[in-house]
Amino acid sequence: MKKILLLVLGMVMFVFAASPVRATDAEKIIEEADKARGPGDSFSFELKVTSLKPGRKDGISRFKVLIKGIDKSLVKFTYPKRDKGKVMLMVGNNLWIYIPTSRNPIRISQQQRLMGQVSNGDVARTNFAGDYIPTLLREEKFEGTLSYVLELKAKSKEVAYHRIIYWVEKNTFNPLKSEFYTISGKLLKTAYYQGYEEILGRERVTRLVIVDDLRQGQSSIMEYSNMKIEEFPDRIFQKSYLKHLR
Amino acid sequence: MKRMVFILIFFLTLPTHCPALEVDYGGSFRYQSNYYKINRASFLNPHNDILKLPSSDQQLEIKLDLHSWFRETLGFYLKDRASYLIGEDKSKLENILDELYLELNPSESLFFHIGKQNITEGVGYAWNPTDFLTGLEEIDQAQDTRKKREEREGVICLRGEYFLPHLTLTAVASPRMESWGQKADPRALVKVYTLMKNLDFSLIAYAEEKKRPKLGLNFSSTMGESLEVHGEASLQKGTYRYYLNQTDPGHYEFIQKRKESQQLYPKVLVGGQYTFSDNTNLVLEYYHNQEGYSSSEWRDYFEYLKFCGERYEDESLYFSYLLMGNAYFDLTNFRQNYLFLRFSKPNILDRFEISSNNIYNLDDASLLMNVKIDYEGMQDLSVYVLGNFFFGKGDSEFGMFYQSHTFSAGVEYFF
Repeated sequence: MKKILLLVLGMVMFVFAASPVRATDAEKIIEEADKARGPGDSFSFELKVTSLKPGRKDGISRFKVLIKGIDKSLVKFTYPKRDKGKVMLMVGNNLWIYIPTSRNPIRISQQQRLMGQVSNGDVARTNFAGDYIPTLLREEKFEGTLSYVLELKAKSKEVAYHRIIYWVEKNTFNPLKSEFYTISGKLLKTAYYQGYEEILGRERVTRLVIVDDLRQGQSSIMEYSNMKIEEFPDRIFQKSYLKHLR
Repeated sequence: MKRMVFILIFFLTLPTHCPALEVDYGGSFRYQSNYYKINRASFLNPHNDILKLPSSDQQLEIKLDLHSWFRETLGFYLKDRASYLIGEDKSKLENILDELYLELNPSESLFFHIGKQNITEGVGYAWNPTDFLTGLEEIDQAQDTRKKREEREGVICLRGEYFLPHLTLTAVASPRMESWGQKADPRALVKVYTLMKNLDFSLIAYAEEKKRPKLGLNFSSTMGESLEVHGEASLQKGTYRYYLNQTDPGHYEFIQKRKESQQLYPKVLVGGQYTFSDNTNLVLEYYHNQEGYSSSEWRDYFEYLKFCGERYEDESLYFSYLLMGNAYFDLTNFRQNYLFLRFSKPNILDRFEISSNNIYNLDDASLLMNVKIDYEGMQDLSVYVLGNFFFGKGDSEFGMFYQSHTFSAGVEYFF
C-alpha cells in the first residue's frame, strides 16, 4: 500500500515538475510585462496612431490617454480636428463614447473600433493581467532572444480578444510579440512591441506595430510619448463626468 | 453677431495676459445644397398652396465651440452656430447661441453650471422620452438622428452635479419660456445615475409649475463583445398633447383634452446595437408613445385635412384650418408605435461610409428612409450626399409629408 502511495505521490510530483511553469509564474510574467507598457497605477501618455493601407495616404490620429489602475482609462481625441472633443471611457469592460455633437455619452461595445486595426482596448488598455488568464506554454528563441511564450485566455466574453499568444523576453520581461485570435481560432492580428526606451526608471515600449492578418498589407503603428505618472480622481472615470473633461 | 465676435476676440487674447487661463476652441464651416421634390398630393399642403415650400435652397453654416478655464475652479463655455439660408425667393440669416455658461467647481466632486446649456437625457438613438428639458428651437424631424441632436437648442438653467464614487446626483432648475421675453414657469429636474456591474442606470424626476410631474428611467448595458442593449421610459398622468376636436359641423379646434386625465401615459423605448467584425453597425429600436394618435384619432385628423383641402380655395377659414393642422403635425412622434433601424458601414472601398436611418410607422405602414454617403478621404474635411425618402399611402404619416424625397450635398471643413 505504502509503495502504491509513494508511486502516486511520485507521479503527481513528476507531473507538476514537468509542467512548464505554474499559473502563478505565468501571472507574474504578464504582470512584469505589463510594466513595460505602463509605469504604475495612475499615469498618462500621448498616442499617435498611423494607419497604413496600400495605395492610400497614411491616416493619422492622436489621443491623450489617462489610465488609473488596471481597469479605468480615458481616451481624449485630439486629432484630426473633426474628432477633437470626443472622449472614450473604459471602466472594466464597459465602454462609452462622448461625441460633443451628440450631447450625451453613449455606450458602445468592444467590437466598435476607433480606426483601422486598432481596437478600443488596444488604445485604452496597457495591461493584460486584469483581463486574461495566462498559461506558460514554452520557452523559445524569438528573433535570437530567449523568450517565454504564453497563452492568454479571456476571463469574460466582453474582452475584445478570445485568445492571445504572447512572447515575452526572458531576461527583461519586455513584451516582444502577440498574436490575437478570435473565438473560432482565426488569427486576427499580430502586434510587435518595439522602440524600447528608458522611461520613468524602466525600459518601456514606445512603438507598437499592429499587422492585420485578415487584410493583406494593412497595418497600424501606435507611438507612445510624454508618459507621466499622475494622480487622477476617481470621479473623472464616470460616464456623467465626460462632458466636464478639459 | 458683432457681440459674438467681440466675445471671441476677448477670450482668445486673454491667455496672453493671464497665464493661468487656458483657452481651447474649434468649429466648422459647412455648405449644403438641398433639392426637394414637393409632394403636391400631400393632404397637409395640397398643391403646395398652403406652405409654399421651395424646391431648392442652399445653406452656409458656421459653428464655433469655445472653452476657457481658470485653474481647476472656473470654466467658461460657448457654443454658437450662425447660418445663412439662401432660398428661391428669400434669404434668412440666423444665429443660435446654443450654449453660454459658467462652470464653478467649489470642490473636487461638486460642479455648478449657470447659463444656457444643452442638457440631453436619454440613451435612445431616434427618440428620447426622458429628455424632459427641451429648448425653443423647432427641429426638422425628417433629418438623421445625429443631426437632430446637434440642432437641439440649449435652455437657461442652473445645474448642480455631485460625484460620489459610484453615484452621480444631478439637480437642474430651469425656467420654461414659450418664447423669449414671456413670463417663465419654473421647472426642476433631479437625476440619480449609477453603474451597477455592467449596467448603466438613471432615474429622473421632473416637475413644472402648473403641470403634472414626470418620471423617467433609462438603462444601457453590453452583452458579449458585440451587442449593446438599452431602454428608456417615461411616465406621467394625463397628457398636454393637443387633439382635434370638432365644435360644430365644419368647425374645429385643437385642445389639450386629456391634461386632467387620471390615465397614465407611458413612453417606452427598447433597443440595441450590434457591431460586426468588419465594424458594420446595426441599431434597432422599438418606440411606444401612448400620447400618439390612435387609429380613430388619426382617421379624424385625416378626414379634417381632407375636408379643409376640398374647401380652402373658396373659404379662407379652411385655409387657416389647414395651417392649424400643419402646426400640430408632429413627424416621427404623431402615432403610437414605431420601429427604427440604423445601418452604417465604414471603410467601403477604403474611402466611404454609408449609413441609413429608417423609421417605420407600425400603425400605418409608412416609412421614412434616410441614406447618407460620407467621403472619408480627407482628415479635416467631410464631403457627403444624403437623401430622404418618404413612403406610404396618402393617408399615412410619411405618405402625406410635404416632400416625397429630398437630396442634399454638402461639404464641411473642421478647424
